[in-house]
Amino acid sequence: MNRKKKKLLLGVEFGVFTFPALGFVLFATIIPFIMNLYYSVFEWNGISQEKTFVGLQNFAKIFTNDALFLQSSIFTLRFSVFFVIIVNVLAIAIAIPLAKDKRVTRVGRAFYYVPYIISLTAISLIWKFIFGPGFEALFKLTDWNFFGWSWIGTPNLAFYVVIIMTVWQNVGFYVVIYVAGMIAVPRDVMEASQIDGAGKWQAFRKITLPLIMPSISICILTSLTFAFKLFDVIMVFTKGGPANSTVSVAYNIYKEAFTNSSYGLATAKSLVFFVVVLMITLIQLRVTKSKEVEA
Amino acid sequence: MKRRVLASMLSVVLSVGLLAGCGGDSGSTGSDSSSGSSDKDVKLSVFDAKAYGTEEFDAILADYGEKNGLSIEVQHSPNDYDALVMSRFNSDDIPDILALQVGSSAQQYYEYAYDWSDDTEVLELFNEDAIATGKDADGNVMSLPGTYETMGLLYNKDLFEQAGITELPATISEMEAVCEKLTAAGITPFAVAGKELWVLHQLASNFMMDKSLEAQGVADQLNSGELTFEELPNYKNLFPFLDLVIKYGSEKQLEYDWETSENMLANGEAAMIQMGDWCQATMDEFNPDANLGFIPCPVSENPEDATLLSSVSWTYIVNKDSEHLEEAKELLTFMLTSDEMLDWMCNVIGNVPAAQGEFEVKGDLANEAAGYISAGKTNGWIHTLAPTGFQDEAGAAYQNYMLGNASAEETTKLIQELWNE
Amino acid sequence: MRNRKIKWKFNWFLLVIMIVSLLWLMPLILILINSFKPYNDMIQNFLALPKTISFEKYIETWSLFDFPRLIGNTLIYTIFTVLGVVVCAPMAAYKLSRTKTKYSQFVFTLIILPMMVPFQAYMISLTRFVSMLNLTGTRVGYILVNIGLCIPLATFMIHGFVKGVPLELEECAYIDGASKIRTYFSIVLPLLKPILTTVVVLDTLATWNDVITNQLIVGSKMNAINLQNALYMQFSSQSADWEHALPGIIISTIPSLIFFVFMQKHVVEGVTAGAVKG
Repeated sequence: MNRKKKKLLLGVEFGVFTFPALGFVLFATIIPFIMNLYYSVFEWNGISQEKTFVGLQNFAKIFTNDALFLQSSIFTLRFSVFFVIIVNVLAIAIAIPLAKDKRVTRVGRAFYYVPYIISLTAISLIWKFIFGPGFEALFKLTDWNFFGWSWIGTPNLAFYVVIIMTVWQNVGFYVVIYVAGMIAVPRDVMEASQIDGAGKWQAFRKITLPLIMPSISICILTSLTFAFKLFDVIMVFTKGGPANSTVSVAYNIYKEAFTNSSYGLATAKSLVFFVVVLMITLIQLRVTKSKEVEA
Repeated sequence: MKRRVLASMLSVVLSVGLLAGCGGDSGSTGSDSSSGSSDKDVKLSVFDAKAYGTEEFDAILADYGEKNGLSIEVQHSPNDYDALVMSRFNSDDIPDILALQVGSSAQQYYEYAYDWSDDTEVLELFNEDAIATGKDADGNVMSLPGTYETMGLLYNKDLFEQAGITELPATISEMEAVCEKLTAAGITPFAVAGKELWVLHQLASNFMMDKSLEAQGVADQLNSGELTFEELPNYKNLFPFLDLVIKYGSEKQLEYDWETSENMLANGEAAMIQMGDWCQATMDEFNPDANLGFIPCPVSENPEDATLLSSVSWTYIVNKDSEHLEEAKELLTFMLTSDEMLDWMCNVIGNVPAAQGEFEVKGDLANEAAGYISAGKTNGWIHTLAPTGFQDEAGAAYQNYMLGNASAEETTKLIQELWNE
Repeated sequence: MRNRKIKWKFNWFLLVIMIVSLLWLMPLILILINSFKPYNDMIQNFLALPKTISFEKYIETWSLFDFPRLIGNTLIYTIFTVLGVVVCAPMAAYKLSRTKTKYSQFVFTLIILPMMVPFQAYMISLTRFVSMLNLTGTRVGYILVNIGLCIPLATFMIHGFVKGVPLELEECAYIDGASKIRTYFSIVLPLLKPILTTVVVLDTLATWNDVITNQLIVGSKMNAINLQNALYMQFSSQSADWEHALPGIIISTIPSLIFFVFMQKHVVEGVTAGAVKG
């Protein structure tokens, strides 16, 4: 009797602690997403009172007759690989010298964070000018072909434009997390290793990196999910161009829902996309969790 | 520790409560015109997409509201318009009056719209061709027209003069000759906003026009399959024209957005762009001294084929399930035909109203267009009659062609498939 | 000897990073100088310094947009959202991290699942759902949705850091007779301060800058929109009111920056305190 009561109490306790958060998440995302399941088997323009039931037709279309969706998936995957690697390596590199707490480093951290705070419409205005008149001026100055190419107007180069803009805008966020992780690395461990004769790079690899695994885990997951969900930069700046070369999956889904007025198809795509992302992130989580070191 | 946390939380809540009280009723933002005292029953909501002249618009409406005991809530939302309208409909927050892009876009909302077909007194206030743009497939008038907009090739008259061009090109070979002259005078001929998919689609619609069928006819026949893109008389000339645009404009045209394109024309950095008279206000800001005009777009070797496309652009529906249908109807009639609003249309935003009457409009472009319209030299808009979603995909296909990644035949085939979807 | 060498090298690295950081500061400067230029001048000479500095547009923007009300709205949204997250997320993250059952794993996955879904994919369904609950156009509705959107990431981040709180501390507390809840508040929560501060900063800035959720939920109620949303409305596919938008952006970014710099100090303080104690 006592054990049962204890278990019940534990369960209630668990519920009290976790239910508020769970409730909010159900409300804001999970239930709407389940509603997507419902809409995905219809053909609906998002406005009309009428919907036509089409069963799995939307899903069939995605896999057989949607070249753009495939193209956007490849773009998103490619972008994710580049972005996750570049932004994390860069953020760690920047975080190392900034991980001490002095006025200089605090200012430095704020600087890197600035783009993250500024509205994206202003950011895209700036990049428009950098890639446009800015590069032109640099071209005249240096005569390097690099500046003479049409960065935004060429499909292959536009990809790098998106990488540059997103890395630049988001690195500050990851720097903050890495700095928090690095500061928590106990000083005495680092000093002990130096006394034992370890070089800087060795100390970093064998001590710092493993101990900041929680930060790495967080950053890789957030950068990965950000990359998969890439939308804002496309929407505000490249608009998927040129010639649909920078369309991300999220952008494709958005266009499908609002420009093509095919909400059923859009929700079907979002479900397919979700399943794929889920699989990838579960794998990633398992990999990084296994490398974490408990304090 | 706990007590301190509680105390600080309490003080935060209190101060926020105060703030909320302060922020509650003070004044209004630029795009809010809830007017009148709080005991007015009748509340009407207007959802509009205008980007210019919103202050004056709101003022006129507030005035009307006062005189008629209404509280009018206006929302201007030029950006992400489709997504916002859709979300309002899905939130069951359907506006009483809604502005929509004429054509297939508006058609989607007609099931919610009030049918004006029997309100002959109101219909008589507008031009017939304008009313026609608001009809659904069965010929019922489901929406009322706002203003006309004209689009086509805009050119900088001063630059043309500078290059010694005296006659406007009417055929494609004449266009090529003009480009040569401009280049010889050191002027960049084209600065088309190639980044904007809608610009390319609009440009292409010049070549889709068949004057014997008019816009609706072309759209209908494309829809029914009687006509294909290959069979359209001038469509194939789009591609040599695009070649000209690339050859005689900078290669970076695929980077230009509408802002860059318009700015270059206004500042004399390029001679021709594809745009419409809606950009007059922006042009005036860039360079009030610019002399701009329209060139009917040459689409073949026959000068008679050159097209200038003009139509009602925004059309307005009244929610048929509105709680205050009569007041909403009156409000819309006021918005589109009253003297104050007509004056606003002509002098504030510089567009020709769709209402009956002779109008003098502020803005060179609109006035020049009015000349063409009354001479019967314009045709309607096809691009708005295209199936939903066609515009962006077609634009992307044209971009692909301009990049040299697809041939004219491949692009035409793709366009056909896109239309059929 | 070796110590001095390392110190010198380290400072050199710092110098490079600080110089590079100017590239990141550049947008703020560019927006600032362009906020003083008329439209055409901005496009023609974007990188040049403004010819005249007049605050006329700033003042116009302030009154035209009714900045006091916008700031008030945005403040309310930010404060309540952050409060909601700070109350709910650590509780859940803590419990989920300490409870090692399959059920706990499931709930955790459920809570962080939204991180993987782009908002655009379900935004219409969300608006329908919110309207079913009659929360459309309300400040409360917006706040609730916003909390719900911030919780996944917050929970995930805290969850990772809970591991850094030694189990022994809690066990000591139980032995001393403290209840679970008391332990949570007086021992665990303070040790989570660095990550909590990070979460507060993130969510504050995210809510302050939010546009799309605000548009969707609050949408038509002009008197309840937030700052960035109001600024965003100045653009359309064919017009851009930069002369008001840029000053508006500067005005709205200043509080964010001050907040961020201020909070940075707390993040680090909390971390070093925790490290010493641990």
